[in-house]
Amino acid sequence: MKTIKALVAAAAVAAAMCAAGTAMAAYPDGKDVTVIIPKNPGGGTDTTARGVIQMMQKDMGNIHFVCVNKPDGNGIVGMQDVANAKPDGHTLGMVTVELDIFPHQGKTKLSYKDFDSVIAPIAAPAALIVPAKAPYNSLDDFIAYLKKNPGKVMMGNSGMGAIWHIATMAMEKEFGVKVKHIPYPKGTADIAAAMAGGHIDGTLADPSSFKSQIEAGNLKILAVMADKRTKMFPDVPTFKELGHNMAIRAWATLVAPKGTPADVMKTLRDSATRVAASEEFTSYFLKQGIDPTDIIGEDANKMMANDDAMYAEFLAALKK
Amino acid sequence: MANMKNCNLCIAALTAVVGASIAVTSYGYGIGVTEFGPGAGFWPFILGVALLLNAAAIFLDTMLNLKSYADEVVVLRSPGCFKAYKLMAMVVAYAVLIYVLGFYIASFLFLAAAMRFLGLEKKLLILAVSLIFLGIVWLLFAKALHITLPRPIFWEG
Amino acid sequence: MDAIIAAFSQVFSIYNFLLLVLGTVVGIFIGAMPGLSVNMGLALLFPITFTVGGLGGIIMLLGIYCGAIYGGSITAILLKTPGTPASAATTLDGYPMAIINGQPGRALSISTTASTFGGVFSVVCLILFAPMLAKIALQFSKPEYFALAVFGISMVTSVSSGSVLKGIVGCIVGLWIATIGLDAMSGMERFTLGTLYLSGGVSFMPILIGLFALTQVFVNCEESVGTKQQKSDIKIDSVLPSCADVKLTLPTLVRSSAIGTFIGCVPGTGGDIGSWISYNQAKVWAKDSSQFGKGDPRGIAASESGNNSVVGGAFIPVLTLGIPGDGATAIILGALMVHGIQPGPLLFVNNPAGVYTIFLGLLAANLLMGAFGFSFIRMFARVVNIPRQILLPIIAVMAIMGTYSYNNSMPDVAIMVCAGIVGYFMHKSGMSVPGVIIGIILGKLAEENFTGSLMMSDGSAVVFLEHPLCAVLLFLSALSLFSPMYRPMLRKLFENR
Repeated sequence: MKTIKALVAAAAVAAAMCAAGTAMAAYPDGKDVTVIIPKNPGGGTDTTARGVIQMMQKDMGNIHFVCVNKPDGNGIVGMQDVANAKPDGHTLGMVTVELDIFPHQGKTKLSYKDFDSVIAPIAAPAALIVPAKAPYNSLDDFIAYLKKNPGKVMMGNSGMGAIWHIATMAMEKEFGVKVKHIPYPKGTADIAAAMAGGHIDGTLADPSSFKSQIEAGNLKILAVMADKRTKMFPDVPTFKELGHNMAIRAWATLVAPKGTPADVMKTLRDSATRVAASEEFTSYFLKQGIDPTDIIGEDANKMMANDDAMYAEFLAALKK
Repeated sequence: MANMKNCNLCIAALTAVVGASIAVTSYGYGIGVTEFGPGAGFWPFILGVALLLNAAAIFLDTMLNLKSYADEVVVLRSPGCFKAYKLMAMVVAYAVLIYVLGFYIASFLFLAAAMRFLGLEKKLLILAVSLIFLGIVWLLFAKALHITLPRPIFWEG
Repeated sequence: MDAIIAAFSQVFSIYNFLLLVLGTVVGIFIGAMPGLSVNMGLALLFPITFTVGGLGGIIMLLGIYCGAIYGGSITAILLKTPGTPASAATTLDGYPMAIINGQPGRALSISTTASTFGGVFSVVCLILFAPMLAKIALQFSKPEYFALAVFGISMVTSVSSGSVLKGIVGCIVGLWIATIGLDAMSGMERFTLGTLYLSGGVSFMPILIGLFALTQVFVNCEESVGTKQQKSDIKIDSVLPSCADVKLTLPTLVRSSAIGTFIGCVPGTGGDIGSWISYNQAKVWAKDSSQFGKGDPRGIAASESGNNSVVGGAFIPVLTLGIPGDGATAIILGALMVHGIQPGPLLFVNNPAGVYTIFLGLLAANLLMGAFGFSFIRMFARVVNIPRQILLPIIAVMAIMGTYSYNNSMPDVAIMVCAGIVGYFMHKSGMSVPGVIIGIILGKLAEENFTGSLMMSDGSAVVFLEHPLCAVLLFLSALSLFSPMYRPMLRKLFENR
């Protein structure tokens, strides 16, 4: 009798261990995880991605991320590769706010619906930046000046049809003013150089490239298009506070293809939550002049959906 | 054997065709200059026209120096050339093979075939060089730099 | 003074110095391999700078940056394949001297000397003249950039070997290739044939690698038939350049380094533009320019000092304004910020130790790069004697590998192979290749600033003459463009006096 009981007990334990063993073949399982970055190496999205991924790697411990840059086709090819990848957690990617803009410009059929978010570590708001010596010190002053000088004030952006141009057009529409759009296709660094040299009168763009000039007192920020004041410039009011509900942000989100299993997403999101709460994360971004955000998981999905709706409406209105 | 005169005329013709197509397409993009700056087709249109002018200049230059260009021989059919053409075909095949068989297998095949084609007889040397070279590449790219080179299309994961 | 001492202890601490050495060596390797770009290497090692802590990471990045710009010259000289776009001009005289004239050691030593000279010169300018040069750089607005691009393009007539008219065709085609894709100035997609790949534009790296590396493979293959490979007797008495060479190239070195430093400090321009303009100016100012393109040491010296001096120059806007001069400095700028060094107008006031560390780091990196370069010359020169049957297939594989690694894109590889085949026929028909490269590199700079200037001036073309700097550069460009026509006449005029 005792032998049989012992045998049954042993079998039960063995069975339980087997079950536990298969359950433990969970994610991450030692295989490399590819992260496709649809931008050139060294750009803002790229360094952000590499930083966050390295912190998550340290946090999770038993995972190895490999970054792959795929800037082809303005990044659309890279984003498509992520969307089409096998949703098993071994391929992730970065998507940027252009994902919400391009579909409405007819550039792609991809949309935020093809992805499931892990974390959006940055969401740089459009900041209204002007030379320090300019005769306007607030958003209202600036708008008044624009109304008196229609079509003369030169505002820099990073390319026609790109996000900062859209932000400027949104401003034009909201306040009923007209500016001269001057594109600087290489990016906000060129806009900063142009402003430092006094060649343009202002810009609506991500403030991180202008940080040193602002701190040196050559440029000033009048307002930001965000829901909350930025950590970097806490004295600068938001458009919302000043009565205009506008929030235009250039975000980048670490995503997985839609259909990735829930437990994989949970592992990634939990790690991201821990990383986002860490001192290292905050200081990494603040020091570069970027306001870090900790929009994780479903919140990030919602953000992408909201922005998509906003751009859909705005771009359709523009077409008229 | 071709000569430089024919070559130049060929180039002039090709240039003219390319220039014309660019000019026509650019015209479609809009070449007006407004207060918002030039249309998207303005600059390429200038390029297309410049190519047409260039083609005309080459044509004129060739006509004016007919004799000296006709005397200049352009070698296109020598044994050396044919070898080069075969090598070109091999490179194209190699590129296609990379897509099918992945980088390492395709490169191994190409290295072995090309070395043999160029005259290397010692089979052992071919094998050794191919393997060692690809080994170093693998160490550097896959291990150190984590750059994934194309995998065969039947590779899972 | 304390700041300088603090900087010395930072840079020359054993740990940091080792990192500098590591960075420089890795940089030289990345530079030498076609397809591996400086930005890629910096981006890869950027996160590691946090784990190593302190300024060691920054110092390592400086080493990579300097090493990479030098490394490109090695493959440019030995294999006619520029490892980085900045070394494309080095192939014009480097390869003939090394392979055709059989003097690889001499070519490599001139290039190493020139690179080190250029680098050190630019760092000295950075230390002494940064604020002044920055002020000049800030004057550059769209008309000036346009004029600079035109100046660069106008060189095609003097840089083209063989028929000038055919060289111009290549240049214009290159300019056109640069327009393919999404036009940022209008938001329109041009010449994309509806494909997604082309909407992002044609990347110029595949074309560069194809036109140089792959074309050379085919040309060498053709030449190899019937001839036995000559085993060059490479006797390198000294890796250092001869006194005669130094004397000959010194004016070129100074002129090119000045040009490169200036170009570096103008944000948005880089080593590729610096090396071409330096090369062209060297040819223009040379009393006897007949050997250019055939192995003239001044050609190598101009191109290499022109591209390495961009390094120091590029740091001028970074340190004085907090604005990066190019992609690589943007990454280093980010690293500096994360380590608490806030570049910008306040940097010299707030953090003098940080500033001196960067100066010292750059100087050390350039000298180390030179030291490694010279010590590797004997080893590198041996590449010349590798049997063609082995070397050519390996170069072909490297070309494919490098092209793919650049953007992880197979279409790029297809373009590279096409470029290689087209390049072969271009070579046959007397069309020179540098024009195409110049066109592609400068195409976007020229068009975007042309269009942008007209946008700023509401469509008035007078803007190009209203800006004095722009007008001057445009005038010089006209001179340069028509130089093959009037130079022989001028020379005759002066000779008959």
